[in-house]
Amino acid sequence: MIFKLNRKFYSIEAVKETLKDFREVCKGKVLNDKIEIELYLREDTQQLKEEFCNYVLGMMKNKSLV
Amino acid sequence: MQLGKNKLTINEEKGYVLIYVNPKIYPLDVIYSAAYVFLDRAYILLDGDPKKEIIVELRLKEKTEGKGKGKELEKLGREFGNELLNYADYKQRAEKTKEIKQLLLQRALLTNDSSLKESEETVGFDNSSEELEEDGSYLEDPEGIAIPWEEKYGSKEVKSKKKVKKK
Repeated sequence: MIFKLNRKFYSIEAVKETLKDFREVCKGKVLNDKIEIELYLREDTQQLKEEFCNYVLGMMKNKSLV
Repeated sequence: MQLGKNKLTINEEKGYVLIYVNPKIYPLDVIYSAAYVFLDRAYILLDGDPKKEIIVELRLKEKTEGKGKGKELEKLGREFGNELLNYADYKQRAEKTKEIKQLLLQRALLTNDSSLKESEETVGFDNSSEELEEDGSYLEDPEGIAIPWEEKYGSKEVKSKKKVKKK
């Protein structure tokens, strides 16, 4: 599954951190500067993409608080 | 279905609501703050152009079927709008009271700064009261003026009682 996140709103660091945290559920990589993400599912997980996006937002929030 | 002069678009089939936000009215940090509030209720996706128009996609986490779905999505979108207004107001107030907050914080930090207390002593502030306390001479009464009012001007009964007590 490939999906895009707008770089103007999402930080690459937060996406990479999220990929690390999601490694048990899926494998993924940032394909290019536009933050195109490819996720390989390890199991059939519903709403993985949406959960991934929420998690990235959460990471960005936490970083802004630190 | 489009609402609020095309600022809210609901797609019942796919189960999402799109909110088109003007960044001149609601800056990006306000949009982030509003989005964080909805993290546990909805799936959020941000897109668009931060200078022209920001598109917020909200998907309900809890699946609702039938006619209720559209209403739920509309409610979600409207609540997001309210939250935007809430944070825009908060930001505006925070900017207005920024200076006074800084002043209060500085005052609080200076009051409890021990290094400043030391420097005050070295600069030679008036420490006469502390010296007097250490000296203990203020307790002496060579002219006999430290007599309680009751003893000096009180009724005879009081005086006599005290004399009895002294005996």
